[in-house]
Amino acid sequence: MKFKNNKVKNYLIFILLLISSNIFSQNTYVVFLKDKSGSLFNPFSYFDAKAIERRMMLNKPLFDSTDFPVSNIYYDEILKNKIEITGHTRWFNAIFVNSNEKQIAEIKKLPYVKNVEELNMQVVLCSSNENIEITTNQKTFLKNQTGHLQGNLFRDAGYTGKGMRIAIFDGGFPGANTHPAFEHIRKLNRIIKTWDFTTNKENVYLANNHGTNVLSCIAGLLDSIPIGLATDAEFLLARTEVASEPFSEEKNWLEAVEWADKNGAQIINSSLGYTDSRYFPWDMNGKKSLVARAANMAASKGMLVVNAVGNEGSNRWKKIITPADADSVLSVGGIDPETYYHINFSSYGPSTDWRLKPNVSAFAHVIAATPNNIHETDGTSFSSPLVAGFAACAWQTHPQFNNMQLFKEIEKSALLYPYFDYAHGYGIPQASYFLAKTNQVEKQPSVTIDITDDLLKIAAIVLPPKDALNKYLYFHIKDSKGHLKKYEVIEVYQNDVITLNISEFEKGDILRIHYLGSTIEKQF
Amino acid sequence: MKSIKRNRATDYTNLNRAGTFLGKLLLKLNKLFFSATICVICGSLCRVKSFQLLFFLVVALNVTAQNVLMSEYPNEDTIIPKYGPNLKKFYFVYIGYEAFADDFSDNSANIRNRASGRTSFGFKFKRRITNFWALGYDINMSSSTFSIKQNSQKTFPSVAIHKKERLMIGGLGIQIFTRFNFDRRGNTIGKYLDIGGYINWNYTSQHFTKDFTTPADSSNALTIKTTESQLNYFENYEYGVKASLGSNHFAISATYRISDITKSSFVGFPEMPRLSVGINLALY
Repeated sequence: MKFKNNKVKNYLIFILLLISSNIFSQNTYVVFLKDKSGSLFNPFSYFDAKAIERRMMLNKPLFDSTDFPVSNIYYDEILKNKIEITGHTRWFNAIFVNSNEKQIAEIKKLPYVKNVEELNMQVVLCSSNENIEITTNQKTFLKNQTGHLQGNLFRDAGYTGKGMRIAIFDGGFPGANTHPAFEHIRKLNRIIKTWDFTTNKENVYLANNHGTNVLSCIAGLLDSIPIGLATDAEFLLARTEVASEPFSEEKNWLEAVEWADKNGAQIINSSLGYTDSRYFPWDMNGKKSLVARAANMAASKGMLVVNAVGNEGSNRWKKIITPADADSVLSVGGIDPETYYHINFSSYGPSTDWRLKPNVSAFAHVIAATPNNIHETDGTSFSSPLVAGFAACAWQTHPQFNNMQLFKEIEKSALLYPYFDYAHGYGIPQASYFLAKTNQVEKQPSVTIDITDDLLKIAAIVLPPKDALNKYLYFHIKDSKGHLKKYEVIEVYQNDVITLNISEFEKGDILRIHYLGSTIEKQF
Repeated sequence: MKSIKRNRATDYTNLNRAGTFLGKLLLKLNKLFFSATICVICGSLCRVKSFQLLFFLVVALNVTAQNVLMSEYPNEDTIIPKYGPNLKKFYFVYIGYEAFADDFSDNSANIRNRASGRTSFGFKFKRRITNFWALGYDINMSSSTFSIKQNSQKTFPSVAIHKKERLMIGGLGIQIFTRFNFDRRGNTIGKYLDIGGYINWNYTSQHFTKDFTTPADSSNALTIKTTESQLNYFENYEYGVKASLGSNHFAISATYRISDITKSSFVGFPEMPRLSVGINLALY
């Protein structure tokens, strides 16, 4: 057999090469090692002073085996096999390598290799398309943006995140070195360190402006109007994602979290997540993905990790994304600033193992800084930094809190607490809680439950609505395992709100209702 | 899952909404005034007033109703779906184009490769066995076009030289394939190799020619087009093997026809190209 037409033959060869290079190309693997043989560690030379201070404050050990470096002996031996090493993680005692399956088979045979996992995931930046049109109501909008968290109370009391160090992982921060919204940060050299984990260079002021948006929602300040709450915080900026690259590795996230720890971060904001390129919605249990495990490890070392829940609420995926599924991650859902309840694209909880997610919520339609301007944009990507900024101020009010105490207190400060659901978590955190604990004051219930025959009637006092929040009645039915069977949000216009059939309830079920700031419950 | 969009009232069969009595009353009043409107045919003023009242009542009915903004049943989210790109079952439609490459034979039709090809449109079903292996079938319609070179070596389908000449075979086919995936992934198609066999029923075949001529009694050129259908020198069935190498929506495919398409009884008639290579786009 022979090809008569050489051009056709050439086309064929080209196409086959193109496809095979795509399909059979090298992948990134994580090689987990059994031990850290021969590795030495001096925390005083490794950690930033701020990191040591955080550990001492939180009674965390300075000599933790997870902080010891990966064994040089093993590192060099793997390198000898002509395998490209792209990075490593101390916490997981693993080396990232680029190699083909044949090489990986050889690596697996090495006596000090515990196991090998493949990594190639598509990252999702949790924001929707931007709208660069600037409206005349921007100042009012910005006041609401921080005001819904009672940011003005923090600010008036002098809590602006001063002394707090926040690490941001994102796709790039173009304009963060020039934009007037960050001038107050630059002036006092409060961008402590930057690192681009995708190129291993220091410059992060390039690529995707998502990080610039996010930074502004934590600490932006324009015409003395704050865009976020922690305007006086310090920052570690890490570029971990390459937006134009279809497949990005979570190894950058892992390396960045260790870098953040080393450099004394107290709070990590990650408006990133991973979905169906590798996972199924039912994998969102906080244990499956490496980033979720890394986020939990970061929490165990005293950092508060704040992560967006994702924008999958109105699509097929629907559920939270990882690492927002990790149990020690403060997962933030999205609120619509117009209606003050769940914005339709914000991902829903719970985690697959029925833990409450999101934990709290914040605006998911915001004004944020672009490289040269400001714009309105959507996404839980921006709910997360608003809460990260809030957390910095809250921590400043109670520096004795450890990260998980702060996590719990932020949940308690939220508007719906102790009510919760899987769309809002506990709702929007409130600064007044940390300043005077005002919303711990018992409010008179403004809703009643009346059972007659086989009907359960819920009645409420209807007030002339001062704002949208006054109109909403939330109720959920929780089963004996603690799982919500059902939850609703109802806009109330009359006293008789809803009538439920008693047959809907089983023994052990709890009906919990939240209305006008008070929560009542009925156990069956 | 019930997902309620903003500002949209929804009712449920198992919930007795408060306000039902008021609603019924208002509806009755509406009907009453509507009847009154029809009755008052002699005074247009009265009719306008009735409509105004009706409008008010309808608005009142809406604003006094409770508005369910969100209603979620989390248990329903825990049901693992069976349908999806990397779930138990998945099906989708696709379009494809393959260019004829060669017939690997010395006795081949004298065709113009660049203008000859197969366009197909089909439905593909995939049944996942493991994360790395799936089975499936594909039902498709195809149209194969062979453009014939017009030169002195031409003997097929006739020696006559035309301005343009092509043969078309329309087929209905089924393919059975096995899919091998290369990557660990979530609910996506991923990178794959499909290998399978196909059989086609060629339900139609046509021979088109196009010529220009200038009649003796006219200075204007005429275009003469001819179409001959149901060509008796082509087989009604064909079979072969097919492979696709793809990534999510896109695939490169190659089809090799094992059976002859030209009937053996037509001695001297050449065989049409057997190999075609092209691209497929999955629409899902």
